Amino acid sequence: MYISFYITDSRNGLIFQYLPSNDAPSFKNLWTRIQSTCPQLGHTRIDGVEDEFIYQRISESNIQTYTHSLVGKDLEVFKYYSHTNNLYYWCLVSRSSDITQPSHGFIMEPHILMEEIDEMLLDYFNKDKITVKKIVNNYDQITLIFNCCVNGGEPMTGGMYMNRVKSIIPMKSDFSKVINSTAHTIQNAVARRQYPSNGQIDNASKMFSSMSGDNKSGSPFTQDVEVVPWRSNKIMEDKNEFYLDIKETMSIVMEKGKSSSKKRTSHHTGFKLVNGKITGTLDCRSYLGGTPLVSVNLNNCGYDFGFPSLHDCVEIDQFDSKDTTLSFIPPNGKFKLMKYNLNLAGNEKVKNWNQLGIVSIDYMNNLGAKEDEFEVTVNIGSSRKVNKIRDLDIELQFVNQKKGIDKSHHKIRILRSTHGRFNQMANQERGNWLFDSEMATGTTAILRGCIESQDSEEMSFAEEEVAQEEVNHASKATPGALYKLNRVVIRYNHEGETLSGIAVNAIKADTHSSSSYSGNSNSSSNIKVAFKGVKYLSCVQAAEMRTY
Amino acid sequence: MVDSISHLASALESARSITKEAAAVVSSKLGESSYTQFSQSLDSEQLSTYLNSRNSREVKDAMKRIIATMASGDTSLNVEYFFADVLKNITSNDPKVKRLVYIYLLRFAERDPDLALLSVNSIQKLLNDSDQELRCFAIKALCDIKIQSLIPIMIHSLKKAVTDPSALVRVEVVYGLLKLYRWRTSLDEDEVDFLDTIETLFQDLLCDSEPRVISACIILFQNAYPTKLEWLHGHFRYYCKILKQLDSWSQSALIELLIKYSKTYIQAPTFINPVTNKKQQLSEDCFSFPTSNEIDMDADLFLFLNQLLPLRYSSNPLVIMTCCNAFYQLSTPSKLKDSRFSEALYRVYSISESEGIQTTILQTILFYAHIDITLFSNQFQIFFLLPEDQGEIATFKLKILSALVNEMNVKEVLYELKYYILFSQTEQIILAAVEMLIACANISFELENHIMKWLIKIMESNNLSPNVLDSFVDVIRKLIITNPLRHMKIILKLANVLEAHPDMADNARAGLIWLFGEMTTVEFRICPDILRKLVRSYTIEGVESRNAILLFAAKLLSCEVDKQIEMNGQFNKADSIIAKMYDDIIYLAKFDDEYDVRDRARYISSIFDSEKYQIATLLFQAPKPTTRFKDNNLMSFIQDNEETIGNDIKEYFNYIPWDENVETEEGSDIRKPVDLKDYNRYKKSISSNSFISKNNISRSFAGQNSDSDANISKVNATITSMSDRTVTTTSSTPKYKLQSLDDFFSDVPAKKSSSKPRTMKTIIIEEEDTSSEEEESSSEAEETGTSDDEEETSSSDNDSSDDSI
Repeated sequence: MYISFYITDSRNGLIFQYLPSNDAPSFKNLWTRIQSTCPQLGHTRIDGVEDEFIYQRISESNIQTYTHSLVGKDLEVFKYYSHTNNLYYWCLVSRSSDITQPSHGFIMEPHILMEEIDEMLLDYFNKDKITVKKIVNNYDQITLIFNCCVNGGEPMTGGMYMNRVKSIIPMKSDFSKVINSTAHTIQNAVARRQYPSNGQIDNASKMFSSMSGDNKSGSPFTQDVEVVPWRSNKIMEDKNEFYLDIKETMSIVMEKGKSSSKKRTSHHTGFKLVNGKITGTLDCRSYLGGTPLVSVNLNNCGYDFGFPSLHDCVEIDQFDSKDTTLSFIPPNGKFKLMKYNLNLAGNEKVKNWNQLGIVSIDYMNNLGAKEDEFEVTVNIGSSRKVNKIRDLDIELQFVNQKKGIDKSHHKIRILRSTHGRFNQMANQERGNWLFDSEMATGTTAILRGCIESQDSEEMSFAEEEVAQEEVNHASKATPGALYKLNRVVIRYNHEGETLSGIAVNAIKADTHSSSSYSGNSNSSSNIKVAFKGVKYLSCVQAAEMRTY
Repeated sequence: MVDSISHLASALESARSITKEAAAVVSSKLGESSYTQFSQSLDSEQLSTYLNSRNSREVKDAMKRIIATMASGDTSLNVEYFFADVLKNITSNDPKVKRLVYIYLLRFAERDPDLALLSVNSIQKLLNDSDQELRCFAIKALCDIKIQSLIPIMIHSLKKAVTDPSALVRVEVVYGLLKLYRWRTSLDEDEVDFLDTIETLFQDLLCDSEPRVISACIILFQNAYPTKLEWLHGHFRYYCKILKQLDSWSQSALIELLIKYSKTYIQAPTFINPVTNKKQQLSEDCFSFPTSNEIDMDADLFLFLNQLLPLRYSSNPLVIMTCCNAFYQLSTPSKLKDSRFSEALYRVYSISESEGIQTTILQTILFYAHIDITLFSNQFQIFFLLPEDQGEIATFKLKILSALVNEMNVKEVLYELKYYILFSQTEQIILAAVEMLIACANISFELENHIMKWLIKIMESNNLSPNVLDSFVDVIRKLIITNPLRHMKIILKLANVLEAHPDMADNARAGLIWLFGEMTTVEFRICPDILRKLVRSYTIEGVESRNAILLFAAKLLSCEVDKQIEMNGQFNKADSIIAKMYDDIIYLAKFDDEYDVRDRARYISSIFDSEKYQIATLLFQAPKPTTRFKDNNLMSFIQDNEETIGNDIKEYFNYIPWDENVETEEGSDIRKPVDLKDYNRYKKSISSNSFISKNNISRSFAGQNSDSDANISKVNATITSMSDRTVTTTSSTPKYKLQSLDDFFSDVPAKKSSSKPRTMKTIIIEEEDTSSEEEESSSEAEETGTSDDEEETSSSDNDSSDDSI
């Protein structure tokens, strides 16, 4: 059973603790225990993965990121790192000492529970990121949310549905929200005035229904009836809006054919896909009144979704992974409709780099008279839907063709670069080509550099084949182009289009002003739903080009 | 005069502070942060005043402060000090304040039970509140206060609430029972007389028709009665049907329970063994058969496995994992493959961001890959490392690849591995990749040869780190040892390496020397020469190498002794060159810097000096275990991965044996469904003025799961094969033929359009606000109504089921 929960920052400083019983230890006590029994559990990522150099060093020294450990006879601590919030979640779990009881669930359950709670906090506060400040300001709400999710030391069934949580823990309404909502109301009113024909009537009927609804809510059993467990039936929304965001993240490894390393060839040729995946999320925000039935039709671009994870509300028997239409009665507010995963490896459709993402890259070694120059060409393709890409960052990795020969003997010098600046890492084998935070599409950037060795007289040294053949004379051989560009990793993100090309064809929303409160109005009056278009977000987590 | 002035001054002072506070409160409304600052400025005296204030706003502020102090681990304020002040506010009209007081009580009630008892009365009052959430809260709070004298009250309240029309309240009752059950261990034995009551109530709740209640029941079942599988008899089919509608936490728990149930009460499926061509029951050994496609299983088992299929879309990783386990335990690998849960398993890994989940899933995949290579082998590329894969995840991926490698894909896998070994920046990945080469080499002799040559080439050309070099040597050693005679060329090459690279890392050299020591028994001729060269370099070697040389010399001598004895019947030390070299080395070792080396030298020399050659043979010529393990034995797999695979996972994959003594009497169906209890009907039959259409519920759930159509009466009907006598429930979907009078009148417009998938009904609710007294009487009436109805339904249902048999 779950004894207690804690949230800490990236340096293991306590932010929040939920101690639902007298026996639950405070984080301070727990921390002492962790330090004495399993100090490795306390290792942090040192402020996320951004500082890759340090991260690398950590992984090199074989420190693994531990996720759980025993701290007592039947006590186990689990740790979960929330990437979105840069927070650690911890929980203390007691295993049953009773032999007849299986501890099966504990394999992953705490991790899943903490992940869900993390997502719940985001949904509850309707944020994209929870800050420490937000937690500190809302200790009471968060305590109650934990109380909702865990009951009697077990996960509360049905406790994860946001409608239930929100009905139990009403949102705080502070002054700023009042102002915001007023502004919104005025905006709506203005909008309605422009289209008086259908807006006002709806508004009037809604006003009426809300009044009548209030009158009747006092009866004891009317609230019991929910159409579906994830949706309360008394949702009054005057916005009637539905938002859908598709967010894709890609991670891919391509290999450059050997032929193009010697002579100049045109870009994008000779790349072979080694492995790659795209993961995508459909985030919805639904503000629809009544009991709407929404269906979303996706253009899957020929990809097979396989078995994506779907929100409980999606009607599965109508779902087909080939022709993707999702029909559902949405929960109110923010929720994750679907999470999918596309395997690019072994996929017939994916043949070359061009089809994935709008940035393509190529690089060449052994250029120039001394064959010690390299050139990287980045082509940010033009697109009608995307006009700029953000946070473009290209990591260049040079490899010593003979490992271990003194590393201090070379230096990377940039001869020419059209955009951005070059930043070399301390260990000399890596550098980052950093761009402005926004780059317009339809640009081509070139970086040309030279790897200088100290004794660079003999430059005839050519290829890695040589390096592998002439084994015995390696130490005596010329250091020449000892280093060469071997691996390039691109990272960027942009809006407007998904990486896989998956897009929404149509969204249909049937809002029926439903059941109990709208007694007098027509039973199936269709209210027009403002559907504000789909937001597409693409993030290339890492696209690696490499040479063997 | 002075007095009055000072009065005035103090009055002014207090007025000022009041104004200040008021200003603070006003400003607090402007934003969360400023509010927090304000609330933190409250000192303990003010807090106490606020807690006792009549102004609900102030009480709320104070309670928030108390909770914030508890949650932040702030020790500057002793919250326990305010116990009485806080407790008082349980009577507050604001539900949120009540909840906050309850949170406080959770933590502190046990420390002062007598005082905490004071709150019970007002909590009890809430049990009859008209708001279901408040009733839920009351039950929750009551059961969470751990005071012994409260037990009778708790049990009484739970008994009463078990028939509450609101499913949420009944869910809370189940959790209440769980809390009571958990409590038993901390009580004396004579006080634990409530267990029977819990069981009776629980049995009732298991019959509930509402999936939400069942969800909670499963949690209780799993935690309190995991061995009472016989209780599931009557519910098996219904639970299977509503599986999709349960909460995801309960889904995995229920699947676990049903796996165990099936193993105990359902006959093992049979299949035709392809080897013996005989009918055979499914057991653990069956996984070694290539494919046993046709299996014959019980209808209920089939139903269960079939109902798992919609769960492939589940967002809860645990559900996917337990579903896989269900197929593994109850069926064959080929069925698991057909179910395509393996794809869902990979998806879970792929979209998850939690390392805990990812590693567990990868371990699971590794496990299944060992059981049936075809599950993942058509998509082996997906396990190639991506740029972000680090640490454990990368290691597991490589392990999975090594499990999946076969003749078809070995070329690509090997290519990829070589890349990691040459260019990876992370030593951990390099080491794991080197280790994996063994799996590739096991595929064919040519590969084995190729890999060793490649390793030696890299070893010579690149300056590798000691760890990596060590792993290289390790792999070469392991490969050679399996069949040394075939690899004579390689061995000779290694001898050259040893000679040409005196600067190689100590541990790697030691490894190589050890290898030649092993060669003494296989190919004696080459060894003396190697030793001769090593004697010369002994003084410049590292510690490990010196140890290895010592051991090598001992091994060689032992062989020499055996040979001479075989030929001449005795061993003459003076004639043997090897013995001289050995003497040299022993001499050097006895004066070594390292006491370990000296120690070993003494121990070895004592054996040979005392001429106990048989012992020497036993010690130095013992055959070493080989690494070739490519059989699909699970136990050996688990042993091999002892360190990497966690205990939980091992336990998880324990194959539960089928119970062979399952009685199958013809005609008696132990899983005959019992009657369901639908509490929604009571609220209709009682308050004739108010009723709620259940149309929507059945519609939405019906859409979820085509098989079960999810409306209870239909489920019941199909099971009892009495489609038109739906007696246990009265949900008023248009599909039913029997309806209550109320439904009949209300459904007139809806009925016409019942063929359409979606019908919206207009219901007019006319109900006066009932006072709490009335409500109580009505709830009493409900209870009586309940029992009547139950009798009615059960009797008629019994009839129906009798008919069906």
